[in-house]
Amino acid sequence: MNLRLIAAVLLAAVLSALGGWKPSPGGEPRAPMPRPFIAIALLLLLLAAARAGASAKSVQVDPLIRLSADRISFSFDRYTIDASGHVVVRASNGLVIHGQTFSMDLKLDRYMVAGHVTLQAGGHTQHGAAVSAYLQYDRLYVVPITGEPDRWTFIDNDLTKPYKGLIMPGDVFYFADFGRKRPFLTARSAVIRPLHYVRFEHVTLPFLGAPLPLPSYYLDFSADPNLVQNSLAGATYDLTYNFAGNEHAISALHLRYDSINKGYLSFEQHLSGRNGYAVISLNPATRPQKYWNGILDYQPNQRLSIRTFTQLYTDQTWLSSPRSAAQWSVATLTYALPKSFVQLTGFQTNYRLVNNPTESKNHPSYLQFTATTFPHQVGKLPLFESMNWGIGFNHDSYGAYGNGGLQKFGGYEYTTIWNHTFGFTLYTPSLRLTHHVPASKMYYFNASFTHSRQYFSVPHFTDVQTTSASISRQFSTSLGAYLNYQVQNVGDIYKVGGYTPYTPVINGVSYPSFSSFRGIATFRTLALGINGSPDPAFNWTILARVHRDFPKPEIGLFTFTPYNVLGNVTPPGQLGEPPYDITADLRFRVARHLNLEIQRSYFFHYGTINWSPTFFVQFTP
Amino acid sequence: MKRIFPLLALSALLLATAAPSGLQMTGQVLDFERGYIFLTTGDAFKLADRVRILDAKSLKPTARTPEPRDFARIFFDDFGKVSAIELSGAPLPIETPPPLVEKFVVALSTPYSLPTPTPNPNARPDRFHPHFTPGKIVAVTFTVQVPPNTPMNAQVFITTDASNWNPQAILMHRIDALHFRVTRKLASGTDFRYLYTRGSLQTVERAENGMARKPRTLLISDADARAVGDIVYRWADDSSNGITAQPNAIPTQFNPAPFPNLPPGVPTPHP
Repeated sequence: MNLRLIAAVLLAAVLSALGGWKPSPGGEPRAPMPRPFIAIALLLLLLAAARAGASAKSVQVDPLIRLSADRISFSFDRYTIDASGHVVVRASNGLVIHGQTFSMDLKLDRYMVAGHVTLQAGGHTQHGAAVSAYLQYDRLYVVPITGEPDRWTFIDNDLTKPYKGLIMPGDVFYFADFGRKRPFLTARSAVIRPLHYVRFEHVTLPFLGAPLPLPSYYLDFSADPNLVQNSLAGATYDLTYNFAGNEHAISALHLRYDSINKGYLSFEQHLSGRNGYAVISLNPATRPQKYWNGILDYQPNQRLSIRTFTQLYTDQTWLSSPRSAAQWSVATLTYALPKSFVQLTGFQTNYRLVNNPTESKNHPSYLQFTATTFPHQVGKLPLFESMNWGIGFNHDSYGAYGNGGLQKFGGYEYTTIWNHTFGFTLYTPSLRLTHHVPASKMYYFNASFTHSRQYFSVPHFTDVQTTSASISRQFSTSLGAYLNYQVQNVGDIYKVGGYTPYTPVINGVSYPSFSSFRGIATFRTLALGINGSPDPAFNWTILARVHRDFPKPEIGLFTFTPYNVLGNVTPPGQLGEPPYDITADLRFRVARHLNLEIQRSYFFHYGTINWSPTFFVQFTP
Repeated sequence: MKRIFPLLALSALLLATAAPSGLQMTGQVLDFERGYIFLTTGDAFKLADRVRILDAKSLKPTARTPEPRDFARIFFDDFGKVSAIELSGAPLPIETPPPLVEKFVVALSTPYSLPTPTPNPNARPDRFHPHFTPGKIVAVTFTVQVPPNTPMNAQVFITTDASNWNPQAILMHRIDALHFRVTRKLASGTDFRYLYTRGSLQTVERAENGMARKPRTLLISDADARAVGDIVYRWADDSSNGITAQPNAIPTQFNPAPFPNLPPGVPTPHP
């Protein structure tokens, strides 16, 4: 229910955006109202978030635990909570426990209160030395003090019916080992949903050597990956502060840094339910050029799923009226069939949402229907195939060239282009090349071939064809190597006309290799990779590659291939890769929950450029 | 003298009864109240009338009373009561085998067992596997076959609930065109939930039928080593025709710059 509401809100938002800001026939936008629209959309989304949290009650079984004490400590290393001094535990099932100290291992789903313990539930009171609650089994193990100490077990929270002498787990009253490390944070109270999250309140967090007081700190440890889906673009550094949340929602502030925006703040709201999730973000929130992103993924059953991504760009001072704004949205509907699935993808862009004459008027749209088969073995051969087919529609009344249409060709401006596509993939599993030898001397062979062709109502077609073959050997459990050769052809082929000879001249230098380009680019890569992992906490990789591309990767002609946050060139198929490169990657653990990855490439025979621009350094939890 | 003798005899008897039995043990305090000291083993011991409380390091009397989490060295008298307690903030070495002091434990109800309770529906179903010992370190090797359209420069990771679904939690190594592998040491008893990614949750694996897939589950048993083989059929960012629908995708019919990294200002070739 909650995600249906969110879906409706997002859909309404998108429709409002499209309807309210659709350019009038005169080319000028109708009265734009972005600020009220954004405010209303945010209000509705917050209501949806609140509703998401409220509707969650129906599926909860484990009680919500409210803990207060003089001092509560949390250890990230061991995922344990310890509390001491005037401990009070109030569970949502009516159980109230007072004691001197509290200990909980969040991963084990159990907690203990010890020292002058008093239990109260259903009007009954029980005094004891300690109580250990096994939430998974709804059992309370108690050391009661009546006449003499004993060991009693209460089942289903019923304090009127003690099971005396019932065997208990051996470590039932052991404190979680907190060690002598400094806690990650301290707090005065906490709300704990076992197996899902803990939210600390009145928090003190050591930060750069000083205590940083915070009103709250939320920590998710659930088995739900959808709750941590994100919609933020990459940044060089990101410090996340989850300031609120429950088992279905997280509200987070991000302190970020990147080379363009420098330091800035971002906001992200996560929502997750049984049938889907939603993520809304504002990034950067403290810079004029803002991106408002929204992801919605809704899967009402095992056969149908809907996924949308919408990005609204605004150039505005805080939340004042934007100077310029643009939006693009993509929605994919997937329906599963017994041996295949079909997808309907819609894509819509508005480059000018406010009356800013400097912005492009383009608003291309795209609709594509595709059917894809599952991988299927070809007879009894060691060969698998899968196929896809699709039909698509593209429309843009303004056009990429600014004077109408999607494409100008043959003296005609196309505002609508239809396409249909067909593609297939063939691949082999790992085939042994050697037999009757130890595993460390075994060679394996893999090959794959992918071809996709797309015909358009403009008389041309595009081809993407990738062939790959590799030989690999695992020398030992910690050392392996592979040799891979890949050829990718990307072509845009016109029956008549098409790409004409062209020789770029930059700073008086001409680059004749481009003159023979007729719309087909070829990327050939021979790669030798060697991987070592002598220890799970220490890995290294060396990758040596030879590139033979057409058009030739002239030095100075192409801008340097961009790297993504993982240190990879993206998208693949960029022209201008150096002819020879070697990359070393080292990844090792520097702390119990912190890995460091260092990577850098060296280029051979690529003018004066010998090294990749910077070291790629990344810390990961 | 006749009057003094009985007094001396009585004093000697009192001294003898208060004399330590020689038995002592160490443990962590759970509670200290109503004439008992409780340890984290769940055992309770009755206190003598005048129990002495000392600091374990200085062996001098302290005004502190034992509190939960304190570590204690406990001395018993001949009646099995606790005559002295030494307190420490750090663990103390185990000194007396627990069976020797069992006789001093306050009487408990006769132990009996019930059938294994049914976990509540919200619990992880196989958390406590009955057939192995938890905590043993096991080398687990994950090998995954990726879709043939996975870029050659792609990195593949495992994301797990143990890392709060960090999409780059465990880096895998490419072993050939279609396979990646990694070995991790995990404790037996670990209930491991995981998915494969290409570095972000936007590139997480999808089910064969294109739907979002639930996390894979793996319960680590106490075998010496374990091999896990998985297949990823597709990634969340796959496009069925190999061309991603986004600005600057190459080449598209409406893209004026099919090769996006040409220098600014250079007239790009297009028909």
